Amino acid sequence: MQPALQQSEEMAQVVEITQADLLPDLITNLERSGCVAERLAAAVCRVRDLGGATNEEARLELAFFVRAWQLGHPGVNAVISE
Amino acid sequence: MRRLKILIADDHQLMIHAIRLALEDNDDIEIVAEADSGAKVLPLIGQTSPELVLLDMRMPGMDGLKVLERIRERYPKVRVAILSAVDDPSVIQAAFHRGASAYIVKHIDPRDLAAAIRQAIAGAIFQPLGLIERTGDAAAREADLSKRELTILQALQSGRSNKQIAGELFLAEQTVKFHLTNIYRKLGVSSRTEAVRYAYEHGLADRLAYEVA
Repeated sequence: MQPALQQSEEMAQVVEITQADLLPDLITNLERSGCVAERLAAAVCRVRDLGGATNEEARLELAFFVRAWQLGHPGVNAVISE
Repeated sequence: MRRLKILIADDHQLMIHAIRLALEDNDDIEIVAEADSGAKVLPLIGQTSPELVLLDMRMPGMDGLKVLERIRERYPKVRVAILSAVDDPSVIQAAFHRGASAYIVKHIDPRDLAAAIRQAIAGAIFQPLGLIERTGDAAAREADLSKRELTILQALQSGRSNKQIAGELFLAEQTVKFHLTNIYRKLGVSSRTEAVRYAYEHGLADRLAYEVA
């Protein structure tokens, strides 16, 4: 496996939110930020190319991003998993 | 209204976008420039004259500590707040030794970011929890005080009113009252005076820094 691909796969995170109708907005915002986001289910997407030096850093930055995005969408809860 | 001008430096577009989202409802804060590498920071400071640089620690080319040193040399009046995923105490210590005004770890709730920036510009010093182990830290843990409660307890010691504390910490006065109620309960006291006395007697009184972690 090439290092870049390996890193990309390792950095993938899954985000699930409680309002499916807002998933396209979240995906759009993630893609504007240079990530690759693909819808896995009605309210679930996988995010890659997060760019952190480690998996922990990538997760931390994604969590910060999702919480910041939630500020504009009060009432939406989110769960991030690998 | 005077707007606080800040420059964001982070090589991850995700973080730059997140910071913009976190600050967009704060009309008193203006993002005047973005840098995606350390090398771009100094030229952008020259062009945009920010009051504060929100600086990532890990960046390609020139890392955050090196950028911090250069800023201190060339623009000593510009404050620097580190916003980093790195919580290694030695790195944090190095940042403060090089003149950082604040060190904010990326665990921070985005809602608190604006307040942290305002206080860094105002001259308050932030340091992450656990940077330097002191008597007060152990006492705070023993009393089960949160970071916020510890900060409010510290403010009580100087005789500030709830309104003053709320203003300084960018909290609602009602929120300060709520925290005070919890502080009294945790310390087993029933008044401000008793809380301050407890703080002195248990080594909580000598803390000098506000904390964000």
